[in-house]
Amino acid sequence: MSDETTGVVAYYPGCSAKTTEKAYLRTAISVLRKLGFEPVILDRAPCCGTLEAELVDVNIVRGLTDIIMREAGQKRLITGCSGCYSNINRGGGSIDHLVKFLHDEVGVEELRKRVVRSLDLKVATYYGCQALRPRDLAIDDPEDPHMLEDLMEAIGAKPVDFSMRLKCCGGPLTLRKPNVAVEMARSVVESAKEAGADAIVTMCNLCHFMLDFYGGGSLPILHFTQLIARAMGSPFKDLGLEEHFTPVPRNLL
Amino acid sequence: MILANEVLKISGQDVYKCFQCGECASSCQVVGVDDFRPNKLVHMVQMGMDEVVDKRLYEPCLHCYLCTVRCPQGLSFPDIATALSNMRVRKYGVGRIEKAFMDELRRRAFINPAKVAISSIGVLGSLKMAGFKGVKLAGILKEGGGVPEEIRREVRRIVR
Ligand code: SF4
Ligand code: SF4
Repeated sequence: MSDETTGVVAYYPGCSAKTTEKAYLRTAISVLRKLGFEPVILDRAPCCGTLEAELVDVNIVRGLTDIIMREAGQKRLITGCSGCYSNINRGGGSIDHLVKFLHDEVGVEELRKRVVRSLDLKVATYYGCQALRPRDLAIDDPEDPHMLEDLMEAIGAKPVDFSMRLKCCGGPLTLRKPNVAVEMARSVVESAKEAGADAIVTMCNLCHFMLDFYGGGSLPILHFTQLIARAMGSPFKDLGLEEHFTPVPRNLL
Repeated sequence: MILANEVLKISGQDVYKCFQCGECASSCQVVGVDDFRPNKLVHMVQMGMDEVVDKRLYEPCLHCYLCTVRCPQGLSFPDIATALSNMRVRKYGVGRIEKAFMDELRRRAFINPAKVAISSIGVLGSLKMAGFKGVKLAGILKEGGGVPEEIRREVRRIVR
């Protein structure tokens, strides 16, 4: 039994959203509920394998994807993690990215109507890689996306352009070449800072962890769902901002 | 088996389509890291040079897939890199760093990113990186993911 009528959707959190990125899971679920959906968190589902498992044997990712899809059953499957999104789709499954789901299924105009507290800050909208490329998995134009900016504008935030917007956070190299990975995470944060942003907004577990943990600390790194939740009336304390590695000033949101 | 054929079998990527335009390299963020250049490696695979696998020359690739949206021949370098990496594992077994990751996946069907961070840059490095919030990382280390045993068992059959 699905979904279109009842609003039930399956939400795949990804490992990071059970650990370092709990605030992403919590605010994603809260936003979905506020918008009338009934998200069911796939707690039992295993890790998607990430790039590491794929580098060992592509068949591992296919096997893990089969289990994840079985756990979702007939329900429409969504994730907020671009890494999981990519792995599960490339492993033979079918999963939507939360950004696209909100943009296309809820719609920017509907979201705008639901804002009770318009935000006023400049955000560097960071896409990273896996939701835009390869082309057959792109949620948006891979070289000129706008969905994240559309969502941010709907809640009052002002997107600023920056040179690393569509580049890699360095995450995939954390294990093998940590110095290169850290350097890349820092350059993303620096480029957003130079562009005059008050914060970076991410749409992926791993991107968030990389920038928040390794990024050098000169800008707060926010999950896009934290801003939407706030704009839809969530109290500050429900956003989980104190869980971040890089401090978030209270007056920012 | 000939290198290029094995790459084709694992990834569906036909390296002979490459005509060395260099578009991939000019899109790439890690060109020059350990002398990495995607088009050079594609050429080496065409020539059947096993050192691409033996010396892990594909390793700097981020799998950011940027080159794949620009390659005029529709090639995907990251998928070629994945195939080369899979070949290396078949030839030499799983490397030391990957082994820790795979052990964790096998044990819990879950990966704790805090553990990954610490195994990459060490305890001290992680504490420094996270500043006074290093305590947070320590708290997260305990988390086991909560995937039930019946599913862990299934995963152990897949991740051998
Ligand atoms: S972009 Fe494609 S055709 Fe051009 S050098 Fe790279 S792999 Fe070869
Ligand atoms: S996928 Fe690899 S080779 Fe291609 S642009 Fe990204 S890092 Fe460079």
